[in-house]
Amino acid sequence: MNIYGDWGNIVAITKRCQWRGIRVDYVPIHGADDFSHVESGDLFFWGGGQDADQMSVFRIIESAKNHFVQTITRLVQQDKVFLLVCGGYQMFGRYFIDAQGNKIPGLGILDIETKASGPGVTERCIGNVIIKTELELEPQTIVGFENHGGQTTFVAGSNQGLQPLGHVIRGHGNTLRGGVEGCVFRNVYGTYLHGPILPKNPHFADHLIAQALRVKYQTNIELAALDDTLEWHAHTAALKLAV
Amino acid sequence: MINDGCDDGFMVRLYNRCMYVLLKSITVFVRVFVGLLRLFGFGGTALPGLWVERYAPWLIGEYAKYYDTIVLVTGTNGKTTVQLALQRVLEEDRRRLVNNASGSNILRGIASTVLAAGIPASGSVLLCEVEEATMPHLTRLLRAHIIVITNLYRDQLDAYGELHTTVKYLKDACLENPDATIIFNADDPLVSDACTGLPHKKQSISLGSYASQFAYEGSVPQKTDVTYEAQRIVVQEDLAIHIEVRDNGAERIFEFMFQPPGMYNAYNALAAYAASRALQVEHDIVIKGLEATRPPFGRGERFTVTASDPSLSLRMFLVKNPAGYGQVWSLLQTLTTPFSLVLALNDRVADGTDVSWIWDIRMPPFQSGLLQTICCTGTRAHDMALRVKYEGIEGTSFLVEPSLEKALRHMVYHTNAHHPCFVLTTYTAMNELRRHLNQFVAVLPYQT
Repeated sequence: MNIYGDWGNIVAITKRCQWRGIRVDYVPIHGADDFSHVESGDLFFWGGGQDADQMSVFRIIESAKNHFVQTITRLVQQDKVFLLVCGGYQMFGRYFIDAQGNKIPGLGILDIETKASGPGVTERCIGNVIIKTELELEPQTIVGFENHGGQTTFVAGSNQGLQPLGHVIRGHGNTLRGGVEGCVFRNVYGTYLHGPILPKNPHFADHLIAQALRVKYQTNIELAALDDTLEWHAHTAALKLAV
Repeated sequence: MINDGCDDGFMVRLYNRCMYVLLKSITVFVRVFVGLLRLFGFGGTALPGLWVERYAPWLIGEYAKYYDTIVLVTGTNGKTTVQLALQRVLEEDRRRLVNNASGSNILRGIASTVLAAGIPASGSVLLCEVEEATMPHLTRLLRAHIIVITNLYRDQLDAYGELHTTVKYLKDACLENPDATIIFNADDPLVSDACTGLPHKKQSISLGSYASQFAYEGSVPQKTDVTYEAQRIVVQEDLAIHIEVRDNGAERIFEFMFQPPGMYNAYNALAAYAASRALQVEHDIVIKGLEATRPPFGRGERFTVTASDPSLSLRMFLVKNPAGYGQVWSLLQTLTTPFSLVLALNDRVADGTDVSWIWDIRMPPFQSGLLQTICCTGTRAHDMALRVKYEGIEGTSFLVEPSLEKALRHMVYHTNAHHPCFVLTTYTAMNELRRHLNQFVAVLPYQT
């Protein structure tokens, strides 16, 4: 599933690897049947979709659930890197509760649950976002654009030790007023940030690449520096944007 | 019984008479009101439309009853070009016409158009381009005779929600006007699927083997009986198109030239042809009108900037969504001589505040040696610059300048004016660029 310019994340990862001479094989996965190549992957991206598409993916997951969940759980346990944006983020959670109150089970990998906007919350979270992340990134800011009705919360009493991706400096984040954005579990990064998130946050993109390489080769790999002048100009410009 | 009939007739006539007087008075009132506002230097000319939209939308329907024929043009891209091509044809046919040429295509804009026109002369045609989400509201108010659906692409998701919803809007709209003839794009899976199920009289257009060049949303359409199908499209050196069309109904082939540039305008030309024929305009007159159609506002419009030496030829393209952008881009790929590019990206409400969409544009690099200066500008110049960088698009020089005025100045004074400059711009950036163009250089609208 991929709409909303999130394609740019794949472009960013691919180019930033290629510029450093790291080979990238991009394998699109179109459904649960397509799942055979997944085991060999190092870095996974799961974007968002329109509600109808998202519902059909939930159904596919449901029908292939055991195999699908087991495989992804194993990959997560192996510390493979996942970037989940918007719908993908929601689907990794335990439940999605639709506007009618139906609990639709997700993959259950992250101890989060998402409520569709409905009677309680009618506003969508829309607009430019700046967050301050706890990840070891320099600078600590991550910029993007959010557009979601779903309200995502960490399940109370979970022992998973989920951390937010960052604290909201501007915008909404996981919920309209909760103050935190996204979540981090092992090497799984969930977020509502479009923009797309990676091109304007080259430090975050490189963090994902470095983690994927570290897991693949079981050793710390220092990434070669790139000329990121344009990227940081765009990042800085986003920090200055009017709300 | 006979008496009852007479009384009914009398009541209807009385009602019509009263409504006629009411509509006349409203028009007079609106004209005086707007005139006064203008006289005292207030803008406010959109106010009457706004009032009608909010308090008395039924008035649109009352005015609409006085039109002989009503044509609505809707879809994501191409509305304005189809409207203006149709306008040109109807002028050629000496029809009386009222249309929303300003391109204000939501309910208030259409209200303003009919209010300003008042009660039209008999035999008049009302021609409106209509934003997709407005269609069901409008068709509940009036009875359209012809509905043209150009295409459905993802556009400003934050404004419309979702494509599936848009498809539903259009279906509902058509069902409100069961007597309308629907003219639709058979190559667009979403449009085609939505239309095939409808009980209406239908005509469809297709670019035949050229259709595969367009990245439509949805799966391959079921082949319907295409009414007008392009057999051969040749993009000329000045980007105008020469189209050869097969009319499957009349079983004949005809050809014509269309000035609005690029392959995608063949859809607009065919849609305008089909609508004109449905309006009973003779073939020869339609062709004359289509060949006389110039690229409208921001659709490949040409400017000659005389302030540079030699004069710089500049063409402006309004781009609002990935599909439209990609189409202009593939048009640029047909160029065989050097050119410069200005990519202007703003993120104001009218442009869409989320600029993520630029990453969905298909923008393959150009043949090497053709692209000269490439300049990214606008409030989101840096986002555009990144997009260009990650696509590997390189010119002989690269400039990132958020100020539209400075960017334009650079193109006019500091680049080789022997090469034409193509400006791809979002809505508010276009308006600002036009102001600057007028301000600091002499601009001559292009004449053939």
